[in-house]
Amino acid sequence: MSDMENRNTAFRAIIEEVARSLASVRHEGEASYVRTPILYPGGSLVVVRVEQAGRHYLISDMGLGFVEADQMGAEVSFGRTAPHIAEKAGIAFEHHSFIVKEVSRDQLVGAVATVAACSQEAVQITAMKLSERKTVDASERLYGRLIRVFTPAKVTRHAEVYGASNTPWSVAALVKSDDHQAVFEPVTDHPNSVASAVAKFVDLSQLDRPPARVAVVHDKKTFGTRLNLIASAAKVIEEGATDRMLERVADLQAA
Amino acid sequence: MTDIPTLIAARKTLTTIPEWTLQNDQFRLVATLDLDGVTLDGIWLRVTAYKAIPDRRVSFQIEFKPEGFRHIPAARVDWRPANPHSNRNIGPAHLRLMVIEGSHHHTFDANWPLGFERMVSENLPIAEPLVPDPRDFEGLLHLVGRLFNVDGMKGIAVPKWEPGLFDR
Repeated sequence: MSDMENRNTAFRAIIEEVARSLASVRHEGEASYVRTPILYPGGSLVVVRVEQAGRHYLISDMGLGFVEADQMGAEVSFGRTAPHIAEKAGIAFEHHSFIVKEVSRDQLVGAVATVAACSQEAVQITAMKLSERKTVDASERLYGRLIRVFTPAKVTRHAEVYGASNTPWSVAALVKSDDHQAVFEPVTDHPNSVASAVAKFVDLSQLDRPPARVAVVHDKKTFGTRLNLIASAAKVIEEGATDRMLERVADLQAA
Repeated sequence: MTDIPTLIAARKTLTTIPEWTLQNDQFRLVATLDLDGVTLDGIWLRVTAYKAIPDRRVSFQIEFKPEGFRHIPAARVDWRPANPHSNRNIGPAHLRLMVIEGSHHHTFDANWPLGFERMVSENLPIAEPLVPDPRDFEGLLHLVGRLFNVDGMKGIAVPKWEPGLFDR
């Protein structure tokens, strides 16, 4: 066997070992626990419990998805999301757990994969909602600052503004003077938040008389290259910006 | 509120001996913390365990509440968890892409640099193995007290576990 063939054989053996290690099983008492390679947002691996019930099997995520959400303080949001996910997949959500009952031997692989996917998806969506809810908090804080700087009469909260595409956008705050407008939008470093804000800013920037566009972020450093994306269509300031800076980016005089 | 890293690093004490409550199948406990005799606002210890699962699946979590936010996890110890943890390719170099099969500690120091928005939406994504892995609940209390800089942990009672046939 040539050196090349030896290297290939060794390489393939390593990769086969990796593939085997991606999923494993632990047997304990009446049940077996399948460790999948699927990750919750926090990095815990999804584990699915399989139990034999007569001629059928019962599959469950043991409430591990709920535990993940609970640790993030989002158990209520998870409780609202999970039943919909389960329904879409045709499985049950009971006692905080994704469950499939009366699974036949032929259906076992699909059932384990479905329960694992549902559990992960529910936590993922819950985490995204958490991110959106934090934006709401940031929106409240931003509004409070803007009315202090520009007076309440000039600031409209959750205003609707039309972009060049004629799409109506809801912006967190719109500040108006006689002949000028500025929109302020809190943005988190979550990709969805960035994508949504950039779409809005780009559309507004294409107007004949575009408003000043200001993205308010917690910490610019956490955005990486996504900061460039936002900055291509809006000015970016941090939440701790001074009043003077708010006036400057809005191109408006304070009260 | 004093800045969070200072509070986490400071030697704190349980304000009182907290009691477990049973909610569905879970024991839960939330304990306020004192610093120099003053009970801190916006930072507490939260502990969960399962009634039917003795000496496993116990989590200790320090949580803080920045202004305008809800309580956010700052650090967590997962003792004998049901599922392994896998770090992504982020955080301290020696922890990147590490798969931890057993007990682990989501340290404040490793997760804080991510910013608190990621700490909560990604549920403290960086962990390291818990060394040594405590042999029993009393040993766990001692270790968590040391890791979280919290005195008075030995006052927490061992949960009144009732091993069941099924752990869900």
